[in-house]
Amino acid sequence: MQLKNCLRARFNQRNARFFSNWKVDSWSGEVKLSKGGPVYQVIVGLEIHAQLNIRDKLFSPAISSGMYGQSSSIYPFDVAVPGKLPLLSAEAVQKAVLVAAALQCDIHTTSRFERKHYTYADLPLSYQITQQRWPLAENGLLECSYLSTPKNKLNDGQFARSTGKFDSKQSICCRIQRVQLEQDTGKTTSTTRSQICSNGSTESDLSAATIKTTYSLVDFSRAGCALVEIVTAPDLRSSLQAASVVHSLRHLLRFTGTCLGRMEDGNLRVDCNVNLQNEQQRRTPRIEIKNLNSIQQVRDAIEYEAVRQAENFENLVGGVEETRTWDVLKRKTTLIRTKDQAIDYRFLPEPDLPPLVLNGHVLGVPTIKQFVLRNSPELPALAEQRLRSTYQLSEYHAHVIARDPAAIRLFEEAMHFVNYSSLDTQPSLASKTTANLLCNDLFSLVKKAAERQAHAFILDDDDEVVSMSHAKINGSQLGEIATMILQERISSTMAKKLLALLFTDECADRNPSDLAHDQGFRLITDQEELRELCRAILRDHPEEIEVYKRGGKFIQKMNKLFTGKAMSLSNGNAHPERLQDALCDVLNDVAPGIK
Amino acid sequence: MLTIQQAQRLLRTGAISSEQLVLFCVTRAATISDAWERRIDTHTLLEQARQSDFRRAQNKLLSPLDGIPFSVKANLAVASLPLTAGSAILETNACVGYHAQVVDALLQSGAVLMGTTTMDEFGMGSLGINRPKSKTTTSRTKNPISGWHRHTKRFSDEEMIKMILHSPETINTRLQQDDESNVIFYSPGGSSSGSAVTVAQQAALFSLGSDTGGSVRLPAAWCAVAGLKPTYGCLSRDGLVAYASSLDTVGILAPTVSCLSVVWRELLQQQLRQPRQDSTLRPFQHNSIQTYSSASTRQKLLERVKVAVPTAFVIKEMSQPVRDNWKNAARRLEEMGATVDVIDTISPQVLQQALAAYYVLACAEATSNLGRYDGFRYGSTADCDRTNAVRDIDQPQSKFSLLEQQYAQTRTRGFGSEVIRRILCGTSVLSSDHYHTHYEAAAKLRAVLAQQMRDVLEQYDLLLVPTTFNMPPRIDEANSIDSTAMMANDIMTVPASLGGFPALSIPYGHWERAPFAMSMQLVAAQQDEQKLFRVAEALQDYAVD
Repeated sequence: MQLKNCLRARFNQRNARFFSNWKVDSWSGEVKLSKGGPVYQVIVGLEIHAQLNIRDKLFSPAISSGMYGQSSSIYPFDVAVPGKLPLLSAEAVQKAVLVAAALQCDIHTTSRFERKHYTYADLPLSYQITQQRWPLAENGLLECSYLSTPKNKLNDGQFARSTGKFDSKQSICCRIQRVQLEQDTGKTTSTTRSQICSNGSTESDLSAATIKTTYSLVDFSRAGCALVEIVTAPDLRSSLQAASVVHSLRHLLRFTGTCLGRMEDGNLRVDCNVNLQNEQQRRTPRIEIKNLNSIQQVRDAIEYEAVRQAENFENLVGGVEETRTWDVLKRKTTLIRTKDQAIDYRFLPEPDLPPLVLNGHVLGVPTIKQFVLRNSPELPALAEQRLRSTYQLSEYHAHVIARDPAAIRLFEEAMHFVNYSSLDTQPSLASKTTANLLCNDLFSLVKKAAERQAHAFILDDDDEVVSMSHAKINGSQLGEIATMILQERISSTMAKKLLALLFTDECADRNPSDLAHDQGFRLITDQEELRELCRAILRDHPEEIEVYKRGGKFIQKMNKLFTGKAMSLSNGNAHPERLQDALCDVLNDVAPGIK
Repeated sequence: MLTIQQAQRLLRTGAISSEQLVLFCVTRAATISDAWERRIDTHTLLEQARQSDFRRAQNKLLSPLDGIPFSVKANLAVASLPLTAGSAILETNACVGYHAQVVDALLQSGAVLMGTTTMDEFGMGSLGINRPKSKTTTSRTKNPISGWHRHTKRFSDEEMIKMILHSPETINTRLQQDDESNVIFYSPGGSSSGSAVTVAQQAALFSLGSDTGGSVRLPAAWCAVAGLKPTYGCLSRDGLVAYASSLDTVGILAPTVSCLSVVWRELLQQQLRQPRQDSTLRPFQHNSIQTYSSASTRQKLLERVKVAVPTAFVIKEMSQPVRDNWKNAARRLEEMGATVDVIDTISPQVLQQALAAYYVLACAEATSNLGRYDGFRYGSTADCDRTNAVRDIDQPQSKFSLLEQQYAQTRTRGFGSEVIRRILCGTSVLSSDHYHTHYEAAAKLRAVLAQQMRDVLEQYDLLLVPTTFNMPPRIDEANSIDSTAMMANDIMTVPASLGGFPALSIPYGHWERAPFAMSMQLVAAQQDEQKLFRVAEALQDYAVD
C-alpha cells in the first residue's frame, strides 16, 4: 500500500510539468499558457566543463581519472601537501588549444592562471587554479544542426512542421565567449546512517531516539584533473537548441580526441543559465542550473525552469538571480543559493605559475597555427571526400570511416600495407575488402567490448565510444588480413575469426599470418585438390550417391550433404564457391545427366 | 667563530674527524634547546658523521660540504620530521615524508642535518615571538647576545681543535662566558630566529632559512651572522611552506660571507642535477657559480665597483649612530677602490608606501596559501563536538553548516593571533570591494619600486643600506609592541624582496653600550649574487680588522 502511494506520488511529480497550464515549445523556446495569453521567449547560455583525456593531471604527474580503463592516482600536490608546487602539464595545454581551435576561437599567445577561492571539503587547496581575466582563448563559434532523436521526429517534430516555422535542417549558431583551463575538484558523496541514541532518551520521546547522521566522504582521485571550461554567449533560444549544442560539442570533443565525453561519468558537465524575455523585452532574473549530467537533463531542466519562471513572472513574484540544481528524482530544480549569498571568489593572480606562453617549448612546434594544422583531425566531410577519391570507397564505407579519426588512421595504415604487398588485384577491390573488415567485423568487435564495460550503457548517447581508438588491432595487422583474403589464402569467415582472436589479450600482438597458420587456416582454392576432396567423400558414401541418382529434390539435398562433409574434411579450409564447382564436376563424372 | 673554511681545513688535515665536529655541535645544540623545533637524535647524527669520515678516508667526498653540520628552518620539509612551519595547526607527529629540494641537495652533498629550528608562525613576524600558544613563554628563542664580540672573535686552528676535542662541559663554559648571569632576554629577530641562533651559537655551521620580507636578513643582523636572500626564483621553493609565494625565497645563514658562498655554490650545482619542481624557478646562469680572483692590494680590491647609497632609505626614525655607521661603511668601500655615489632616483614616497604595499600583497597571498589548513588532511583538528554542533545548527540563528563550524574551530584554535590578523587582512584586500583600491594599487606600487631599483642597478653594481636601524628589543617588552610598529622593522629589507633582488646582510660596526652588532645590507641586480659575495666579503674583512 505504502509502495503504491509512493509510486503514485512519484508519478505525479514526474508529470507535474505536463499537467501544468503552461506549454513550452522545445523547438522555438516559446512559453505560453495553453489557453493563450502572453508569450515568453527562453534565453539560454551554457557553461561546459570537459575533462581532458590525458594521462596526467593538470598540475601534477598523477594519473588522471578520465583515462580509459585506467585507475587514477594522487600526488602530494593534488591534496595540497604543504610545500608542493604546481607543474603545468604541456599535454593539457596542447589539448585545450585543439579544443579552442575546433571552436574557431582567437587563441591568446599569453594567458594567465588565477586562484579562485572558496571553502569546501572537496577543494583541497581552498582555491581552484583557473583562468579568469586572461583566458586561453576567446570569441569562438560553434555551428551545428538540430539534434535528431526518434522522440523529436514523433512528437515535437510534428508540431514544428505544423507551425511551419522551424526546419530541422536549419543550423544553430552559437558564439563561444571563452575557453579556459582549470582544475577539477574532488568528489563528495553523502551517506546517511541512523543511530540509536542511548543517552537521555525516553521511550515516549521517539523522535529523539534515533539520530540520523549524514556522513560526507571526499574522493580526491578526481582532484586536480585537467578541465577546459567552455562558455557560450546567451545565444540559444530553446531547450532543443541547447541540447543540440551540447550534443554537437560532445561530438567535436571526441572527434578531436580531447575528451571522452561520457556525461554519466561526469567527464562532461553542463551548467545552464536560463531566463525569459517577454514581448516587451523585459527579462526575468538569470538562473544558473549546475552540473547537468545528460543531454536529457539539459532539456528537462531548461523546460522546467522556463515554466517556473513564467509562473513566477505572471504571479508577480520578483525573484533574484539564483543558483539551482536539477533534482533527477523529483524532476525539478531546487535552490542552492541566491545572489545575495553569492560567494566572493577573491581572484588572485597565481603566484606559483608564470604566465602561460604558447611557444615551441609547450606546443612542440614554433607557432599555434602550425600546431593546430599538424594536430587537428580532418573534418568528417573533407575526410569522406578524400577517402572516396583516393580509395574509391563506397559512400557508405567512406561515411562510416570518416566519422572516426582513429578509423581513418587505421584504414590508411592498413591500405598502406595492402598496397605495399603489391597485389595484382584491382585497387578498388582491395580498399573495399579492407573497408568491409573495418566497418563490419572490427566495428562490431569494438562495440561488443564497449558494451562489456558496465558504464557503456547509455540512454541518450548514440555515438558513444565505438571508436577505433579502442581497437586493439593496428593498421598492419588489418592490412595483412585483407591481403590474405585478396590472395585467397583465407576466407572472409576465417578473417572474422582472426580479428576476434587478435582482439583477445593473449593474441593481441600476434602476426596474423602466423596466427592463421597456428589455427590451421589455409584456404584450398586449387581445383584439382578440391576435386580430389570430393572424390574421397563420394567414395565413402556410395549409398548417398544412389539417393542422389534418384534426381529431383534429392539432388539439392545430397549436394548439401556432400558439401558439408567435404568442408569438414578440409577442416573448413575449402574455398566455398570453388568447392561447389568441384563437386558438380565430380558428380557429373560419377552420375552424369541426373536431373 | 668556527667557519666552514676552518672546519674544512681541520677535517682535511685530520686534526678532527667529522664525528668529533658533529659531537661538538650536538654539545652546543643542547644549550639552546629553545632554538630547535625538532632535533635529529644523536645516534643518527654520529652514524652520518662516521659515514662521512669513511668517505673522507677513501677520498670519495661528495662535496666540500661533506660532513659539515647544518640546520634548517621549520618551514622546510625534512622527510623524517613533521613539517610544522612553527604553527600549532600543523603540530603533529606524522613525518612529512619528502625532502624539500634544497634540503635534499645538501643531504646529497653529504652535509649532516642537525634538526629544524624555531620560527615565527608561518614566517609571520620579525621578533621570533609569534609562537604556538601551546608553547610557554619561557621557551622563547633568545638572542645569543654579545654578537659583535662573538663575531669578531676568531680562534686559531690550534685553539679550535682543542675546543672541539674538549669535554662538553668545557666547551660550553668557554663559549658561554660572555652570556652568563643574563636575566634580560633579547629577541633574536625573525622569522628565521632559530636558524640565526643555531649558527651564532655554533650548533650548526650554516642554516637554511626563508626570507619573504627580511626573515633571513633581520635575525642574521641581530645575531651577528651573515645572511643571504638570493634572487627570487633562484633556489627551488619545493618543500618550503608557502607564506607569500611571489616573495618567498630560501635563504642561507652562516658565520661569514665566504661560508655563504660555499653553500650557495653547492646548492646551485646540486639543483642542476635535480628535476624541476618549481615552475617559477629561473633558468640557470653559469656566471652565478664562478669564483672570483682576489686582488693583490686592498686599495685595488673593489676597483671598478660602483656602489649607490640611496637617500630614500634615510628615514626619520633612523638614529645618528646608524647613520654614522652607514657613512663609515661607504667610506670603507671607497678606500677599497669602489666608486660610491649618493643617489636620489629612488623616490622616498614610493619607498615609504612600499612597506604598506608589501603587507597588502603578503597578506593577500598568505590568506590564499593558508586556506588549505582545515585540519582534514593533515595537522591538528579541533574535536568538534558533534552533538553540540548539530544542536547549534538546529537553532535558526546559526547560519553556518557543520563543516563551516568545524573549519572555524580548527582554525581559531590552530592559528596564532598574528596569523589570524594577516589572514583577515588578506581576505579583506582581496574582496571585490577592496581589490582595486588595495591589492591592485599595491601591485602597481611594487612594479614602480622594482623599476626604480632596476634603473639604479643598471648604472650601479650594488646598493648599500643598513639591514635594520633598531637594536633587538627585550623579549618581555616585545609583547607590548603593537603589530604595526613591529612591521616597521621591515622597511629596510622589504624593497629588495618586492623587486626580487638578491640581498646580503653582514654584521658591521656595533652599538655603543650594548652588546649587539650593527649591520649593513648590500643589494644587487637579479642573479648577480657573485658581486654581492665579493663586495660583502671585502667589507666584512675590513670590519673585523
